[in-house]
Amino acid sequence: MPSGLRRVDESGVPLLVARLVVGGAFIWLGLLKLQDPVAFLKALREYDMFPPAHPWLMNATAAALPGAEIACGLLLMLGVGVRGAALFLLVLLAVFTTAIAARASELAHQGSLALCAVAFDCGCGAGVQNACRKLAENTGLVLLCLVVLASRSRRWCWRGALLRGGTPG
Amino acid sequence: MKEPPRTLLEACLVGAVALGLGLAANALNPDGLAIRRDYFRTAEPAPAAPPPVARQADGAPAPADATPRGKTESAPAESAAPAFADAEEAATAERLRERGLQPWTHAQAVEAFENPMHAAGATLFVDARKDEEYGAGHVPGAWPLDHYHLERSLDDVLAVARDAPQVVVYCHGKDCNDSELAAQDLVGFGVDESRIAVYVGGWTAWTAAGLPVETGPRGGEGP
Repeated sequence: MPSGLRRVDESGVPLLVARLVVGGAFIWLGLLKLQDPVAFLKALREYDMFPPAHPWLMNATAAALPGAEIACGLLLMLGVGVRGAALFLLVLLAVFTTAIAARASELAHQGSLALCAVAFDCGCGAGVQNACRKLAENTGLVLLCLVVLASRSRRWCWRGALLRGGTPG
Repeated sequence: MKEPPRTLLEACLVGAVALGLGLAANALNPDGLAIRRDYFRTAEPAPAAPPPVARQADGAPAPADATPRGKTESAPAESAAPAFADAEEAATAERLRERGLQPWTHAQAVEAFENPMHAAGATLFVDARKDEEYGAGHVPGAWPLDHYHLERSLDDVLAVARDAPQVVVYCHGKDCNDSELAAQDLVGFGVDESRIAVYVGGWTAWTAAGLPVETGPRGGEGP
């Protein structure tokens, strides 16, 4: 990492901002999903990601993800196991952003629309949203997760690393 | 370079604990999901066209009487096929027919509701939307039946639906398939499918037409 960037990183500010934004976003989105698990289940079904022969897999995903998002969001905000939480959320974001992009493309094709003219309920918790706006939001969250993963700082973290040998706080 | 594997291990640990907490939260949530239930089980396509409801020449349902409709009723002429509001409704109707269910037009639902025999119990309306939506407004006298939380009202609905000459299930309308799933629930619990219709236009068409609305629990006040 270049020395200029390292100095900025050592200040702990980029990590703090990234933690608070990603953590806050996932707590908010998780709470929205938790209020209506059936709506989230229906939205998941629209993606055709799960084998119909094993409905428990989709049910378990719809049941567990909202709480998991809130838990990871809290860990990030508290500064506990931040890299693990960020990596877990990054995987979720990668999977669902790809699925949202594919679904939006499908809807755009069906309706002969431009991708950015498509609006649908992606199951993200906020109801019907413009596809491009949602993809942009998710891209921003991905970048902030990468900031958490790349940062060597552990300032303002309660227990930055859960496992032994982590960078000291 | 031990950091990446440690981060991966930490992510697995965090993920496992977070997902476990998520499942625990679901178990404690009164609106939580039943993991083992197949919510979207669909009935096998009917081997033959379902026995249609007898209709008058204008396509409206025949006035209901107190006699349950059987499968021996005569099929209407092809020209009497009901017309749906748009292509989306027609596609939903086609899907319902493939699943052995009778799709009803808005005109059919209104006709059944306004029929004097409706008050005598000839037609039972069943609202397949979620509880909050039902409470905010429903077809007067409709019974709530949330497919995703059958335990809340299934017994009450079955008690009346098994003897009802005609059961009309609705949800939001058009591409919403909660009414279809609720109708299949009723069939699965022994209600004769020839007496079950799905009101395709549903709540959207009902309110757009300015028809009567009941709020709160069944038998509650109008707005």
